[in-house]
Amino acid sequence: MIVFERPVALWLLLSPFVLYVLRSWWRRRHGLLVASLPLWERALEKLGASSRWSIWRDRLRDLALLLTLCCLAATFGEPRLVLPVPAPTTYAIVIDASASMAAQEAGGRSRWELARDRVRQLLDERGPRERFQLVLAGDAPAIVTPLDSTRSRIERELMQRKPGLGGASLAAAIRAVRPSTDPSRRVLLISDFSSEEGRRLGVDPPSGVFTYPIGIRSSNLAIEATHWPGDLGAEDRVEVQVTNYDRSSAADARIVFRWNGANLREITARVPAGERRSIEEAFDLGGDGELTAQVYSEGDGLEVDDTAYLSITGREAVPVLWVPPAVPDFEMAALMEVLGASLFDIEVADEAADSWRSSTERIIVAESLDISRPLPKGRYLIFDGSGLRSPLLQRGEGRAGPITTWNPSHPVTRGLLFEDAAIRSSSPLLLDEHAVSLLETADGSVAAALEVSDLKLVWVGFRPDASTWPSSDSFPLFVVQAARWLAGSPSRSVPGVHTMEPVPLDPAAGDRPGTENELPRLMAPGFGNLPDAEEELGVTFVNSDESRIAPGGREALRPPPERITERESLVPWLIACALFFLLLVALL
Amino acid sequence: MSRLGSRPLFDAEFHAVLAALERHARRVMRSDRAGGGEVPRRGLSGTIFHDYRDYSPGDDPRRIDWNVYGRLGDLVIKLFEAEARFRLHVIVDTSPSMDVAGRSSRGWLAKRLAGGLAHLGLHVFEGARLVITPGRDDANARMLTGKPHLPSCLQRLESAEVHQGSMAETLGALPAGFASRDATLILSDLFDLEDLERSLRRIGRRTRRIVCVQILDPIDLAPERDGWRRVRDVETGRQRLIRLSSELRDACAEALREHEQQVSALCRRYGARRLLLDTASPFERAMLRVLEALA
Repeated sequence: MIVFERPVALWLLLSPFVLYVLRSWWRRRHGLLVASLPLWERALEKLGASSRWSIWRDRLRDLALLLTLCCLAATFGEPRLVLPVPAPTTYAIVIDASASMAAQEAGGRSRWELARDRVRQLLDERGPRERFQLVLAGDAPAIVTPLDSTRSRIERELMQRKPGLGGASLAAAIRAVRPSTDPSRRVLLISDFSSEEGRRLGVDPPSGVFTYPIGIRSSNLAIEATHWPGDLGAEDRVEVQVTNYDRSSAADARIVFRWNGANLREITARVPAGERRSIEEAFDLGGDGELTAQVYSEGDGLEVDDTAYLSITGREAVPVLWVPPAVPDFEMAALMEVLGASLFDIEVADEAADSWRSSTERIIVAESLDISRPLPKGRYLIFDGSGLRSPLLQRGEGRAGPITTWNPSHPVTRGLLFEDAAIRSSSPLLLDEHAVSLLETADGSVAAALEVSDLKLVWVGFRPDASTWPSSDSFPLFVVQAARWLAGSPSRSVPGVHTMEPVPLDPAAGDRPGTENELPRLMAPGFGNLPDAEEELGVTFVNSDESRIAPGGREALRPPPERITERESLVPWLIACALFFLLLVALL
Repeated sequence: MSRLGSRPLFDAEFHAVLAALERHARRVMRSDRAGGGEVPRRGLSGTIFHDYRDYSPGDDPRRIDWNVYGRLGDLVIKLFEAEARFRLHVIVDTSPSMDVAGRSSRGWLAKRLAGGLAHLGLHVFEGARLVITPGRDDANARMLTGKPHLPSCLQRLESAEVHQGSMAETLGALPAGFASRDATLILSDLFDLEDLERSLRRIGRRTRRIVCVQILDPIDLAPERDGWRRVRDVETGRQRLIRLSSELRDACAEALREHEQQVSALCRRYGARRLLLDTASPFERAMLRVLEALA
């Protein structure tokens, strides 16, 4: 593409044409009248100027003269040729910073040192224009350098880092550096792939993720456990699923069950290559405790391939992390699933599963729960709750309308503004003395906070996805503050806000009725203001030593401005062309 | 005032020149008769009586036949055979090419010459017929005799408009009026050789004495200024962009010379004499040259 530094001068391009018209007019005006043109033509024939080439030569001369003037006129506009330069590829180097990376390999070097060598090799293999970002995948992903880091900085930072003592959050690190909005960003994943998650990624990495295994990986087996409580004194049943990620050979798996640290049972099973095998065992566990199932590969000594943990309380096993399947008509589930996956360590429950009842350590986000018995003790963030029956909260009839009043003193709504929030339908509350109204419309309270003994409840009496609320900044902040208030004090279930880029939405969410083109619009504003929330509201971002963003803060997450063009002046070329055409005029 | 020229066609100078030319013409005619040629050699008084014609002012009173006046009361002049045979057919080209104004319009000179020749034809010779071509004019067919017709002739010339057309077609439309003893003068630039040939073919069989007066102008050559000019043919309107140069001027001069040679050859083929005049030539000199050509 050609751009002109002084576009005004382009008017000069008209001057050759004006001159041409004037000259034609002058020729016509001052043309020669002759008595006999054939006499002149005979003279021209004598000069050899009447041939067809001669006529075309005259026209070419005119054209060359015109082009000469055009070239000269165009030089005043200072044209420049804009050459598109392909944007440099961004590589996010994700290094496993788990404790296993400190293990020694043959030759006396640790896996971490081998990973550093591998990084240097990868940097050398890339072009000089490529950009890099270093991310350490420890317990939480930590963005060490911004996107446009040089290789020297990468190496310098890498030399100052060491593997941590925890696990490797490889998948989270990949999500952190490679949002779906930028599929061109490539991830170089360097790990020993010793964890279950690592093994999965090593075997089947997502598109755009290139894996570089470090060290000798002997563990190919993964195990998952599920507890089925026994009824009426029957034995508890534990189902384990052992997966062999080695696609070349079958594995002899040795599974050791431990109950509260003591060996309980040991079994062996052969798992075909690349397949999963399910094994069910029955135990008489008695009280509460922790059941672990460790899987070993036969022939690898005592090195554990994988461990599954089952925390059994009240004779019910609660998975460490449970995300229920999305129910098609549970819109808030999709919304909160996005929130939960990206911002909070919270669970999303629906009436299809009952396991939330026993989860006293976590915040339950629920919608439309059909509760036939009083709420068990716990912490709840409930949206709408049309099926909720509680003696503490009675519902009335309401209409649509804007939120007119909000409680600025309550921790849940402190500092938030709801001026731009309007709801389509509501169920106003009739509050008792334990409940505090949070949001009100002209019809009454539509959101309340309740705390009775061990029951803490934030109840929102309308569907946020049927309102304009999620499109405002107050929505995600409301969720953050509600989760913090419900948690009471920092604990292991404190909701944390991960400093991540705008959340990639599940494409399937767009297929749900009423959510098409709505969720992305709803989510973006709130997430964009999360740093403000940290400053104004004191929301604690999950920033451990390893996960703290490197200098540059949130800017490090944004790609640097693209240098997409190079400009080359065309003036010398135009002058050369003008001279060429002028020479042509002279020759013709 | 002629449309073809800015100067008056027939001014006092014109008439003064003609008065002198009239005497010269008589002398030339006499010498012509004495010199032989096609005209019979006979003296003024000893020539064979041919006819009478009405007396017109300016005629020599000595030639009035007083016997007739005595009997009939009419003033007539006796015509003898030598004079009666010499009538002038003056063909004037008024095509657009004659209107191209160079140093002076060749049409202007042609009309002046035609006026002078008409004067001589009516005063000195038996008669004169003025044919203005191209165009269809009934007056073209009339052979005029006597001095009173001179003003009408001059008037016709003065009012002649520029016409596009062929001289041969005009001549072809005329009734037979060319006698073998008559003289015919064509006043033109003679650039159209084909038209000239056709015209000569029509005239040549009837008259013995034809003079083609080719009037040229320096404008027929390329102008001195160099550069590109759009050249337009005044006759056909055809245009062409031509680069003027000294080479083109030389080539034009050579082409014009070749054209003159072609005109000469054509005239010789039809027994005509070619007389080349320049628009810069003084009228008196041009008339003298024409008279010489007639003689």
